Amino acid sequence: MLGFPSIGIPLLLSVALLASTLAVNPSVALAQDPVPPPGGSFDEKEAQGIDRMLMCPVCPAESIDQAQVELARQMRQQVRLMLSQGKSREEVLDYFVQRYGQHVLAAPPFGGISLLAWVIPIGSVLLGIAAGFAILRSMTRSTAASLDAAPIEEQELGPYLEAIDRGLGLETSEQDIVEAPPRGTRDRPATEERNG
Amino acid sequence: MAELGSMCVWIALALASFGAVGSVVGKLRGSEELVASSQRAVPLTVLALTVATLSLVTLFINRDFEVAYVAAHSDLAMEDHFTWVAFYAGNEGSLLYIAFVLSIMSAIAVWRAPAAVRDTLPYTTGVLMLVLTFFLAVIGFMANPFDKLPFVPLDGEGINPLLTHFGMFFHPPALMAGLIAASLPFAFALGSLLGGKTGDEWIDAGRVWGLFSWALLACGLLLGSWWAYTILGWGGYWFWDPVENAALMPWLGLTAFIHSVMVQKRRGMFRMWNIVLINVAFGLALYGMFMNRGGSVPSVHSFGASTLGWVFLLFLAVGVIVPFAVFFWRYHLLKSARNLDSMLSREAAFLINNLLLLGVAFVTLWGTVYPLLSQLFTGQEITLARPFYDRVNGPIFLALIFLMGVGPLLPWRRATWATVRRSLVVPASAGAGVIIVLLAVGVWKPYALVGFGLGGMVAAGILQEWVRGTGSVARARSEIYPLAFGRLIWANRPRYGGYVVHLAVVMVALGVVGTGFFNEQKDVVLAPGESVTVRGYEVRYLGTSEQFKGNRTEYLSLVEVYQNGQLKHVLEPGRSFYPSFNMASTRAAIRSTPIEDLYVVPSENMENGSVGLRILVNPLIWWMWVAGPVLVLGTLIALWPQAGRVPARAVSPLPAGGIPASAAGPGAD
Repeated sequence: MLGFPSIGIPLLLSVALLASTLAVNPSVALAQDPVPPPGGSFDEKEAQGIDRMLMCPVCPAESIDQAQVELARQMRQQVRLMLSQGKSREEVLDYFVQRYGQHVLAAPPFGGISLLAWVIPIGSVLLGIAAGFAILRSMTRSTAASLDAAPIEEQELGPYLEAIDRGLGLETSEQDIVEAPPRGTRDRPATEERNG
Repeated sequence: MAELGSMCVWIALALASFGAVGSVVGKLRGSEELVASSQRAVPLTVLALTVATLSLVTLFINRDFEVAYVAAHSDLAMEDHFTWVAFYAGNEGSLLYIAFVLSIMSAIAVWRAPAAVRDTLPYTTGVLMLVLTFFLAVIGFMANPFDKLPFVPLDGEGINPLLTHFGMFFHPPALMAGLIAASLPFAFALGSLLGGKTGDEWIDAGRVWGLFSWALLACGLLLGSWWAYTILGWGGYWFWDPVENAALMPWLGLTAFIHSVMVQKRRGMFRMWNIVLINVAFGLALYGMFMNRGGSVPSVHSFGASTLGWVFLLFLAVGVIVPFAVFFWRYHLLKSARNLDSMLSREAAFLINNLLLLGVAFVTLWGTVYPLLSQLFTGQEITLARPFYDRVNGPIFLALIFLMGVGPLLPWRRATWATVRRSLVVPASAGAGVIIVLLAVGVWKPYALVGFGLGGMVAAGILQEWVRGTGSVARARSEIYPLAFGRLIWANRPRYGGYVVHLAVVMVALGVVGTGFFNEQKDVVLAPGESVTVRGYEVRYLGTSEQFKGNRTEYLSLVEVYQNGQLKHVLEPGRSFYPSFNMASTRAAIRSTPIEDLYVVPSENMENGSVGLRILVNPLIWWMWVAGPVLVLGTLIALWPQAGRVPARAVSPLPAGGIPASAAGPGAD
């Protein structure tokens, strides 16, 4: 079921609407006609980009690029019409915001009151990472003086590799096969040395 | 039959609540008999729920429409093998499925619990049985699949047509099982904490069950994407829908957990962090179930629409608050065994990876709840949909892939710049090489370049490890390379299994970047005989046949595909209309190659015989679906039990001294 209900409703809606329009006037469905509307040409890629920026107002969580309801079809058509009239992406989006409200945009503009929508998550992530670095730093500092922190790679490798070789049944020591010391040896530094 | 099933649910409820209370009380009172008998209740819940499940299956097979759930989710025309799907087509059945799966997993977890957690096992059992009690109580009191109608309908309403897809046989059960499986590592962590064992005792069991849950969720997510791709008819596979997000977030939490748990396993660090992570993952899993079981409407606004939603919300609150309360209660005991040696170490890389994963989860959660918040505080609803997630999560994912390439190549404890240089020179040059080649062939999209470059880096790093390791083993044992490779992987399964999974992630990234930045889409209406060309594929529409098939009308469009004037494929994309659901489903015709998919799906069938087609060329998406089996393979390798392992683990406080000779065995991981 997961993932499914989200699609059921819009589809249901779409088909209901579709069925009703088809019954009345089959030609309505031609709204997807690839022939550019009268008045000029437009960039289909740009149009598709705008489609993805606009939510279908009657079907939750679908952009008009995805939604197959009649309204989404008309909106796609409108996008292409406006583009062919030389309107810019912003003008097209503004037009739909004025008609349907702010929530028709799939994401708010980066500014104004909706700036928070962007700044809070981005800021939190950055803050979290900064905090992580700070914690790591303090963890390193507190061990700086301990004996444990002596350079490890060469001096402690010998017994570790022997243990691995015994485990693998190898004759010679090959350092890059297994990374870890055996279990139950957690006070030994789990040095890992590869290829050298 | 319905009475039998219903009775078994109640019996299971009684058993589970006895198991929950008995094991904890028994442990507190020191009564071993009570603990033992409570733990025996666990397999008994499996027995009771097996009977309940079989009862429901039988009711479906017999099409016993007196049972409301059967009438709502099947009809006479339904083929019997769809019973599997119909079983979880609604809330009641999927709750029963979840409870059944949880009882099985709990029984196995309790039965196979490692010696290290024996002491706190009663608490773990208590936690598991408490969760099971919740689900069974909801089934019994609020959503009983065995409830009867006051009359017997002649025919049922039929199975939802969107569910009759091959992917639906595995996607929902995998996801639901994965979500509920997150209870197990959580129960081991909380059990240890409650019992005052704050060392590394729970780590092995937690890791195994965490990985299990993680893999189930990963499969569920991939299968869901594949299903969306083939059946939803818009050519995409993921659209950051609230319900999808709800399943993604616990997966992210568990991804962080299965990495950070390795740090504790190997280095005795991050003890508090692991508890926090598993609590968060469990909370997110509960949230996922709440989003999906709380109501059938996907929108965030429908939380309260069903009473079930509020019960789940309450359980979610308890499931988040109580573990954290226990965590703070035991806080003073949770000290890491050691400190970090260097910022340039695998531990540090893992912690940053954890933070980034949680970052993605947070951004996703933010996007899911922000529309509600904005409505609440400003009165104006603001949507955060796909462009938001792409823009904010995209860079974080790239950073994660970078860490995926670098982290495993860093040694534990500390690296010197010399070792870093040595292990990174090959992957870094491979990544740079990929970017240069792409620039040379004229790819100028910075995002895509970084994505492909990082993918190349990760893959090269893994291959480098494999080649070097295989070479050493082969030389040392004078073995042929395939055998040496097998031995290498076998000697350290968690590590090399992890590498295989990383390769699968690179494959997914290939698909995401490939389709995201290089696809082409065309929506056209074609009359019979007309054709359109999309990126070198000439798609010619011949006509549509219409067939009545029991519960649906099937429209099959015949489409020929020419390349360079030669007929390459004949495709039959289809659309079915289900009058009883007033609903259509589409089957895209997809010609898939590792390089690109040609995707043709009908969006309309007109009365004059023309058809609306959406045609897409999706580069590299093939890799995403192939990644699924690779991911499963990697997880299996990583999960395969280590033979001859030494079960005893160091507990706090740590013993001092060198390597005990007896412990030096093949159990190295």
